[in-house]
Amino acid sequence: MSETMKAKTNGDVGAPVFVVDGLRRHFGGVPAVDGVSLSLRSGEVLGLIGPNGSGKSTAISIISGFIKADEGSVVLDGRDITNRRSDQVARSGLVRTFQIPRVWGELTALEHLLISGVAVAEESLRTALIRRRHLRELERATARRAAEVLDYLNLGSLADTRAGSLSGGQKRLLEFGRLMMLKPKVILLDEPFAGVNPTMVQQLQKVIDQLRSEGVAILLVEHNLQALTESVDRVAVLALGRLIAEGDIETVRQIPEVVTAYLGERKRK
Amino acid sequence: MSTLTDAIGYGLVSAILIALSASAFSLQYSVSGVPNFAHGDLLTIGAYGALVAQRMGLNLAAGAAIGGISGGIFGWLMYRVVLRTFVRRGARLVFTVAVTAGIALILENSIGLIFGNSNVNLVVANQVARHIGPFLWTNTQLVILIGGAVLLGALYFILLRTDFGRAIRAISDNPDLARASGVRVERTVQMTWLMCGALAALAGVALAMSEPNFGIYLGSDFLLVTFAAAIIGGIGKVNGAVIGALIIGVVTEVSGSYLSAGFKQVCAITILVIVLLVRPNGLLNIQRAGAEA
Repeated sequence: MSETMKAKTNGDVGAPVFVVDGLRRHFGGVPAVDGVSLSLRSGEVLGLIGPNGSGKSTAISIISGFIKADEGSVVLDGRDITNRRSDQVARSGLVRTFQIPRVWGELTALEHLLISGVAVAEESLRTALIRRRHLRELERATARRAAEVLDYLNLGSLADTRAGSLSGGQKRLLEFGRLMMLKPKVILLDEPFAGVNPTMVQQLQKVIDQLRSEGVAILLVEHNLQALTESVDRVAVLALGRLIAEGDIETVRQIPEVVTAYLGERKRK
Repeated sequence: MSTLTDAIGYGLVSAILIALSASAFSLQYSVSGVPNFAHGDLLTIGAYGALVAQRMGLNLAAGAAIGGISGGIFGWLMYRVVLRTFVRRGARLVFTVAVTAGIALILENSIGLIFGNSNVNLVVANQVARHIGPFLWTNTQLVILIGGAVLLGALYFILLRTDFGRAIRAISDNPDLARASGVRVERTVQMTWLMCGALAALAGVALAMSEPNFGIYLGSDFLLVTFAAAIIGGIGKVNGAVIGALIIGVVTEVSGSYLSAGFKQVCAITILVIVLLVRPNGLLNIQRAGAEA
């Protein structure tokens, strides 16, 4: 665990629900992620910032099982999930979004949530053909929860609309709905506010607050510093694949390395 | 007039056979990105499975079940043992085409080795034709029409109303998103190959029932119309495969009855080319060229 991490976690109460330790991945000898360590407690929101190419998205992809790590470990709720398949990672309670909101264009909004619901754990030809009673009950419960989540996200009236015809912001909300259906312990959000209008940003923030109040730990990768200030407890700064600073946002802002690597670049814009 | 309606009637029987075969081909392609050139041999396996059952003294219904199960197992094995490796490594289309064409050769020669290269036939009772509305159908053709419609209905039910079906559609659309949502992509793709193998084999049993006799190329000779129907509709879509099958089935039978039976394949290819000239992605216009599983 890095020095910055130790300094932070020693002062906290409660064991972290999510620990990344010494994560490393090289591409053709070039380090994309170079010994990154992070930890999150239930209900905590950690911002992950860094300039383009600093390894933020690669780190998310490794943690969520889309890219294999060369070294290091990812532990969720005491279980080592390092290099597990991405679908196993999702079912174990660690879920992610993508930089550009992704939906299944041909499926309805409701179907998105049903797929992500509990019933998805049971999908097979056998259960599709022999619809056992407990499965039907499970499906009914999933359908009820899906309807509730859609209403909560103000997408209730669009339940039967094909996701491909939703607006960008609605697609982003639907992604959050998909996450909520998976009953996650940890959520990785890859630039959730990018290209979203201010009203929608507020709505997304409301959802994030709701999730954290339910005890979900959130790792939020973001370029939008303003949004980050309002949403996160701490920030970690990544540059060239390495974690160069971590702490509350005001402290981190003062670190000269950070100003050079990231904030300085933003100020010049 | 009666020639035309008779031809349309035969065309509908052809269409249901093509629809079963093309839906199976299309679904396998949409979840795995593999255009299965050994697809025709799944039909042949179904027909020979039914033949074996009949030779053992079982009736045709039991024969169809055995044929369907054989096709399911072979479809699953094809993917699980051979194609999965290529799909995982992101092999280019030309390689999967070559591999599946190779599997086709192996299967055809193996069937020839076991059953001999001379033609065989399924014993089908009572070929009396009767008029139903404007159409003239034999009992066998009626069984094929009704059985085929029931199978297609079941397929639609699975795709639209079950978790397995929703998972198939999600994987066809965006496999990474499916993984991120906890869908067991690998298992679902394998189960799709199993289901579609069984569907193709049942189409093979029906095809063998409608032919006076058949041989080891029963299914591979049917591949062209299967491809044409799947591609016309917009590959990867079951709706498209069914619409494509209706067009190909009816037009080829009608043209065959006015021209010569030898023109049927030419006619299928002509329709394919014309449709693709107007709509390059097929009638239902799917952009995506398959998924990686």
